[in-house]
Amino acid sequence: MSNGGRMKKFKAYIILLPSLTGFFLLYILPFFIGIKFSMQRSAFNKEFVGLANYIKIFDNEAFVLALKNNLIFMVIAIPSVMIVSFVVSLLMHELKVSHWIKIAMIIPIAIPSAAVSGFFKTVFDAEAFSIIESNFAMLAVIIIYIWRSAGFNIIIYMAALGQMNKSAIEAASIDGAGYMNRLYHIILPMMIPSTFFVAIMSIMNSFKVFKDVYILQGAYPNPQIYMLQHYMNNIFSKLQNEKLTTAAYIFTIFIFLFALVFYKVERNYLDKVGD
Amino acid sequence: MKKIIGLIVFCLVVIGALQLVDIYKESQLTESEKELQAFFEDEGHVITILMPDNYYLYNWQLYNDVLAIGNTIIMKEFDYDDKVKVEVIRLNVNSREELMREKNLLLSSENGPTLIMVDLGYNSMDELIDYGIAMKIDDQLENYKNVYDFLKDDYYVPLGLSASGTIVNTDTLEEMGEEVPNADWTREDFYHIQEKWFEDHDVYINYYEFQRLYNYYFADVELMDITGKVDLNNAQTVDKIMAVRDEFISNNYKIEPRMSMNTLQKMVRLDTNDAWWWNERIRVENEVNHFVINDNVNALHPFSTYHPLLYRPLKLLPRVHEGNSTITDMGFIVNVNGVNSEYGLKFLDHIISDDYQFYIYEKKMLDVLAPSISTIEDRILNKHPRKVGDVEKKVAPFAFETRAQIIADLESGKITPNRKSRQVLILERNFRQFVIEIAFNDIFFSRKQIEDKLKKLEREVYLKMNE
Repeated sequence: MSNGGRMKKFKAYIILLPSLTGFFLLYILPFFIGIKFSMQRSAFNKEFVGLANYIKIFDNEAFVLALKNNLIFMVIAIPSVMIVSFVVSLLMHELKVSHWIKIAMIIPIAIPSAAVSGFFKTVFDAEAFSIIESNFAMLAVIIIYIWRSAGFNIIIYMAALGQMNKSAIEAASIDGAGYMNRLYHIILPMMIPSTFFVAIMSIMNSFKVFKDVYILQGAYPNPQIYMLQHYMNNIFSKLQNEKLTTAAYIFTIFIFLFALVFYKVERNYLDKVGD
Repeated sequence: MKKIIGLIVFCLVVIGALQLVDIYKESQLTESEKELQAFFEDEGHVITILMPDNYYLYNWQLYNDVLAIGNTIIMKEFDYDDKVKVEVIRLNVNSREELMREKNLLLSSENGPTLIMVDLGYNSMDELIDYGIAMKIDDQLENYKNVYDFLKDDYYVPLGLSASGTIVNTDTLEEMGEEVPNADWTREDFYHIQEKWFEDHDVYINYYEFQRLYNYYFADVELMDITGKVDLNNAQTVDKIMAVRDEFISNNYKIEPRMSMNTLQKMVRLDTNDAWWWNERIRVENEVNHFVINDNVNALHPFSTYHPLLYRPLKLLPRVHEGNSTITDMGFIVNVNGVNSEYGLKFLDHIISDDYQFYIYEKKMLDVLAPSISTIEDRILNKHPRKVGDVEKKVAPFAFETRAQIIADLESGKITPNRKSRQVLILERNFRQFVIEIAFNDIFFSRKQIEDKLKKLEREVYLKMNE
């Protein structure tokens, strides 16, 4: 590598250094320190107990309920928000909607949680029938999540659709392929990298829905929508570090598995259609 | 300008006066006390005690009693080289949540409190044991063998016992034309007397009156079904909550004119210092002017019938209106992370010695606790407290009989000390708060509203219990 090239690389590292330091100190280091806490008897007794907390936590009814709710939420809400976002962005792309509509799509992200919850309380917690108090409360949470997150995904999809290789679509049209054929065989495969990014962002945004539910229902909501964030938030105030960290690592494993599934699907698809 | 100079001079005078007081206090110490003070400063032989929750929230009397016992033991017992200073941890908190946070921080510290005082009537040891905070006592205390068998536990050193009893004012009862009941009185007799009492006297509602009302309706209500599932939202519970509210608004209970509904709600909840003082003011007023029944005495302490304000003929009776008798006890747990835990154990061994148990009994300390050891029964029977008066002499034989009966029942296992799990305590505390919120409220909740709220409470309690 030439001197100029090395210098350029060095400068890049210098510029990245503050960000990397912060990331290491605030994310990577606490992540590994946390493992130690999860293997201690409690915050009050530092005795090493190995994986005992990981086994014991599955006897904790509140944790199991929260984990189940989170998984139900992720399995339903994340694919749903991805489908809704893609369909809406495709429609907007095909109909060539104005910029104002595109801007309007992103507004939900910018609205504070308190205002969102106030609005949805009126909608979902009506005196005649309160969906948030019923057995279908999860549906309300999924709707809030889709409403809030779809805008961001639409922007990503719109950008990806705008940059598609139009010559392949035109060639297919000339060869007599209908719209559905073009969509299935050309547009969807070209959207795979963006879809993977949208999936990861959707998983991350799914944690933010807790804020809205918390404002709607407090620390102890309808058990149908009692999430791991509720569990962790409540036990944090009781200084139950061992339960908190154990729950966090188990949750991390599930999120990792979820992301891995998306990654595998993406790789398989790309292998079939070619990068 | 003159005012400012005047203010400065005033401040200087106050500061000077305070310093003089300090110097005076210092000079008042005896030589041995001064020597002791210097010793503690040099050696740091200090044990610290974390008190039960209610002390930090309202009951400051306990603090003085624990310090008094600690100081007595320091002055009299320890060999000079082993002398230990007892300090009670002070926490400035305004709510139960704040208290929990502060306590947790203290207990997670490597130099935490030496001893943790627990009041097992209202708290559970479950968490202290599960989290590895409580140290196993094993055979470390020489005097532990004297503790009643029914109180012995691997992690716990009991300080004293209390059994719910009732005293009735025989004079006033006769004035009311009522017969003075005997030990075999029933729940119906109790409530009949209470009804007459409220008819004839302006009794202001306070914590104790509410407690009686609450127990009347809920003492025999199961808050969990047979499978252990929380079961609050049912017709019986709703009926009873509405009945408590109806009783409250029926005019049987008088509200102290200066109290707002909000203050009243806080007072019956009794979880702040302000609430405690309101409650005490009303209690004293009720007892001085309208005393007929007090069901908050320790039936195991034959002289708990002595009352500085009430030099009247009183009769101690078993508490009948709550279903099962309530036996509660208070004691200490040794913190595994505590400072100077070897001195903490020494202190505990003194506290359960014959002399100190009798000292606590005789001085009617720690909310009039009765001894937790079985070896001083003769001393209790033979030696009366110093301030015994005619009234006590009159009631004493009966009180001794009641005590003997309860101890025999405890030893035979017929009745057992209150040992509630953390889960049950959470359930009971939350439900009681709920009843208070519904009954003492400016809003008149409909049956449907109560049911909806109960449904929410049921879910909330389920999560709290299982987290």
